[in-house]
Amino acid sequence: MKRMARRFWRNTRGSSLIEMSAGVFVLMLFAIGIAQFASLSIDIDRDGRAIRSGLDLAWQIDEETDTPAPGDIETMARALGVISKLSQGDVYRLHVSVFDADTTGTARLHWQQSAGNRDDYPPSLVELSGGTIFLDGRSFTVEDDEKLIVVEIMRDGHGMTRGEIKHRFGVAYKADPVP
Amino acid sequence: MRGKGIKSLARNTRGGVVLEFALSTLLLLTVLLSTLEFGLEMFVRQSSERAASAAAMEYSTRRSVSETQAALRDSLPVMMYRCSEPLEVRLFDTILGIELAAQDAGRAARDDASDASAVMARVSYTCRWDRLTPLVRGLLGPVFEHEVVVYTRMRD
Repeated sequence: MKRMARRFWRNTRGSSLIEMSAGVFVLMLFAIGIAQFASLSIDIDRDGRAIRSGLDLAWQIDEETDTPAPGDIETMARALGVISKLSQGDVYRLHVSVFDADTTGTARLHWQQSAGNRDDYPPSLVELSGGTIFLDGRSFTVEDDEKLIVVEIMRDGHGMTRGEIKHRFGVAYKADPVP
Repeated sequence: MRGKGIKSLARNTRGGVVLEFALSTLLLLTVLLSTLEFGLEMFVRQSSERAASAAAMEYSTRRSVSETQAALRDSLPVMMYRCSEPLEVRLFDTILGIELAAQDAGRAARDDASDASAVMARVSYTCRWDRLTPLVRGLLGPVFEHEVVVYTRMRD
């Protein structure tokens, strides 16, 4: 038995095959890693573009109405989801919040809507407390001659972030002259 | 005679190294070219994203497709001149009640006075990149098409 084991240890036949399979395995890991990185980078680009477009669309919706209907935000979500290839058929949710300020400069929610192709996603992560707006560890204030627009996109992660809900957002200030 | 010839050929190990070298070189070249192809596609993708965003910003202030097209050309890497298709700009006088996602939503920009009433624009930039490596062409198709769409409100 011991002799057999020694003979097996000394046997070099087939070693290049083992070497090749180990090499292919390592190369495959490299290839998968690069593909994952590329996918993440593409997602970040798309979300960034969708948020920038979303801020401009929300700005315009707010310009045209003070009380947007859910259908208006659904149209916007479809535009960002389909045309900007936000998620390429994956599920996502869009939250739009617009804040203004009263005469004392205290922020208040002007309107908020959400839309998307998945309803069981978390609600907007924007919080309003004591006249200050909080989001993702940052705080924002609003003067009485301006509005704050917040666009958040939540969607399923891809690849190594699969199973996670990715949350990205953008903010923009809009002039709101005091009458 | 024939059986003996085949047997001796099978046992012959002369030239084995050259054969191995040729095979591994072929494999390595394929991997190298595919990696280059992949890197180029990522570069084209990123450049398209940047160029489309810049073009949308440019259009929102200039309100001229031809001027935006010229500015876009200046901002693109020379290697992407051939793959770039003309910018497509659709204009909206209002966005409420309009199915923005539809390809034919709004109206096409005409570079005349009628464009002045638009409050929103959808700027689409497309790059059709011919793939170089036969293996990648075979696997993913001969052309890589990247379309970038950006919405921008018109700035005065």
